[in-house]
Amino acid sequence: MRLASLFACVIAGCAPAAFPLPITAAQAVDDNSGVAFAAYLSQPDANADVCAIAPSGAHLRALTADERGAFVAGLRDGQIKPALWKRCAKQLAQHLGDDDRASLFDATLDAYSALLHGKLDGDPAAVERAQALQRFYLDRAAGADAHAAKVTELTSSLRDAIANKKLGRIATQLGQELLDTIEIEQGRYRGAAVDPAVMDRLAADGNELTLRRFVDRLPTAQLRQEAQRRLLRIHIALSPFPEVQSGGSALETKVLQSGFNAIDVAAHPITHTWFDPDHVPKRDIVVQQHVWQRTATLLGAAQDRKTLSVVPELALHGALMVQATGISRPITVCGAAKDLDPSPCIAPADLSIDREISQAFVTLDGSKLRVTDELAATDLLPLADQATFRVGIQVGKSAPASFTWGLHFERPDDLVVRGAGNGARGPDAIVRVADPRPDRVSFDLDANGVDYLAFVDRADLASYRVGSQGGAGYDGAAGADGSSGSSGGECENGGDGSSGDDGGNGGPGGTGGNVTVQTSCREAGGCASLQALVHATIVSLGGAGGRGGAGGAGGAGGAGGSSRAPTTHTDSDGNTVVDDPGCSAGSSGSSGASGTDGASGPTGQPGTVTF
Amino acid sequence: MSRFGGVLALAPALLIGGCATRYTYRFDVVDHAANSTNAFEDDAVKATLELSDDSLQLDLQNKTDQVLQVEWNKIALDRGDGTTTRLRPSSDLGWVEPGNTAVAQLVPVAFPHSGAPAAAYQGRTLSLDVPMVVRHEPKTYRFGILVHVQAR
Repeated sequence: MRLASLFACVIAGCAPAAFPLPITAAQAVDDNSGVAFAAYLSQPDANADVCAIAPSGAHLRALTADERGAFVAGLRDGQIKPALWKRCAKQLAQHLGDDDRASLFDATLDAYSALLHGKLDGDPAAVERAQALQRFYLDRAAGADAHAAKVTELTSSLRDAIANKKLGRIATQLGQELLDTIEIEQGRYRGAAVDPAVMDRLAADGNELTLRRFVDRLPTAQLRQEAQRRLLRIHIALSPFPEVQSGGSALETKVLQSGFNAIDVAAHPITHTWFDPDHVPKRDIVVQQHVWQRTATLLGAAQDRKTLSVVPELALHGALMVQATGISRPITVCGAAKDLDPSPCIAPADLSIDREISQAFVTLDGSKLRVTDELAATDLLPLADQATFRVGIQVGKSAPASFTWGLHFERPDDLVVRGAGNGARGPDAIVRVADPRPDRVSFDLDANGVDYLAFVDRADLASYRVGSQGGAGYDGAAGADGSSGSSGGECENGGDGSSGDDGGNGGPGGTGGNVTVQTSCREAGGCASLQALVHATIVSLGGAGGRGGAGGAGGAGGAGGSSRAPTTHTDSDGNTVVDDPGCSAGSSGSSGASGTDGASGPTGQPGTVTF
Repeated sequence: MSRFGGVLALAPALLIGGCATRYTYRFDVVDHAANSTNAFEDDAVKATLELSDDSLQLDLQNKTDQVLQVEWNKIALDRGDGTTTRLRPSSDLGWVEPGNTAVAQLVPVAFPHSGAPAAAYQGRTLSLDVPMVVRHEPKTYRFGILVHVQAR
């Protein structure tokens, strides 16, 4: 748990938005908290793959009660966008065990019921959230459900609320749709049993909406398959592909078995592949380097937002287009099996990443393209000579289709190794410099047998430093304060304060290590230009001298003693007789002098830098 | 209770929600060759939209000689502020036979009634996307809807 965020959570009433962003999926998983999980999902371009529970990788390991609560609250409170929430919920439901899944549906129905009893009619955002909750519940797989008591509680309260007009206009519409669908789960539609004849009438009307609900919710596999067949026939009748319209029962069987109509790319050679620019988000990849951890994080930038976020995944269905021999029009990658789309399509198994174009950390997960965002620094090496971030996909053995995102390396921390203790000599280092691109320089600093990498855009080079530095000198000790003078007795002066001690001198900074520079450059005939470019960047620096200790403060003078008033009496003759003339108050003692501050230690000597 | 006491008792209620300005809405279909009756027509369809702050009726006539399918579960109202509402007919509909007209009450339709959220709709153009299959070709009809709000 990030303590800072936990503290902020306590102070601010657990407002999850306070979590530091951006946060990658791997970081959210490592944090192992509901607040981190919700924070990840709150970001633009976050994807639902984190919700596919798995024992390794950037996936939740399980859905704890804390994470479940934060997830549902994240939707309810507007932190997580409904479309992403629904995709994530679907992944969770697919990967959770029976009881955990039922608990997720329980929480969903509780949140849904609360929204329906709120004020939906004037709040479109709340309507969107209620729709997401409802669709997640109604689109669930056959056999998956909330705990029975929860379903009974919801349906009876909904029926009562609708019958007694306790709900608003929109809540009534949504609630009635849910109750109608639950009726279908019991094999009934509009009060009558669902049978093939009912389905035939719906199919004749082209009523995909109801048939889709039958496919999703009828109680037996046989009835659901009957509904699938009729829904598919509508899709075939409407298809723009003549070869689909004439596909007959063989096509029906194929699509019913597999969910789609994948072509044989060997029998239909690919003639052209391309990405539809309207389906590829426009992004720039920003590389954040953590030079001392020897890792990097890839983030995404978009023109229409000011902050960085995670890198989006890309669904290839609709984005990757293919022209295949013998197919009457362009096709794309197959969509979800439950869509029952009879259009010819490319099976995900026929896709591969083109490694001539794409980096190793670009991966395919079925029909989704992903970019691994947590990398080792060495993973950046093949990216360093690239002006842009290119991704290429092959279909079968076709020429690849590609698209390009912008690429920017953020300025990393200076790569200067330092002496291990006060005044210690800086480590000797070897710096290997290269210019993988005219506008980018790479530094590989080898110190004590460990390599640290940094990639620096030329625009950042003027202020960037690589090399060795001696350790800072120790700070001088502060001088002791003088002691205070004694206070004077009655009519006596106070004693003087003593002087403060001088501060100690700072220690000398350590000598910089010797740096050997090795250059490797693109230009033929030597690396003079590169050496000139990095001459001021690669340094050996003496350690800073320690600061002198502050002189001790002088002791305060003692306070003077108090005065004494004269005393008299009158004798028998009436004369005034002075018994005691009294005395004036003593003066205060002088304060002691402050000690002098110690001198700063001398800066260490630089080592040598040898090109 | 004194007269002032009564006013003071009322003040919190006014602060909480009693004094937000309430608004009425008017919607005009713009662009996409719509005429003043909020109707649109091309060689395949004639569509009429009637929109209020709590209902949206779409009348859709199929002018082709083949069935016209509306992807009823993919109708979307883009509110121009980064949010989108999925709409669907209040009762399940099928395709539209040649020459016929489908009348769909699209739900759920919600607009804020009061305060800044309602005022923010003044002058905003919403976009209603209605995907269809016309003569076997997927096609999305997009209707721009200009919103006018007025304080009551």
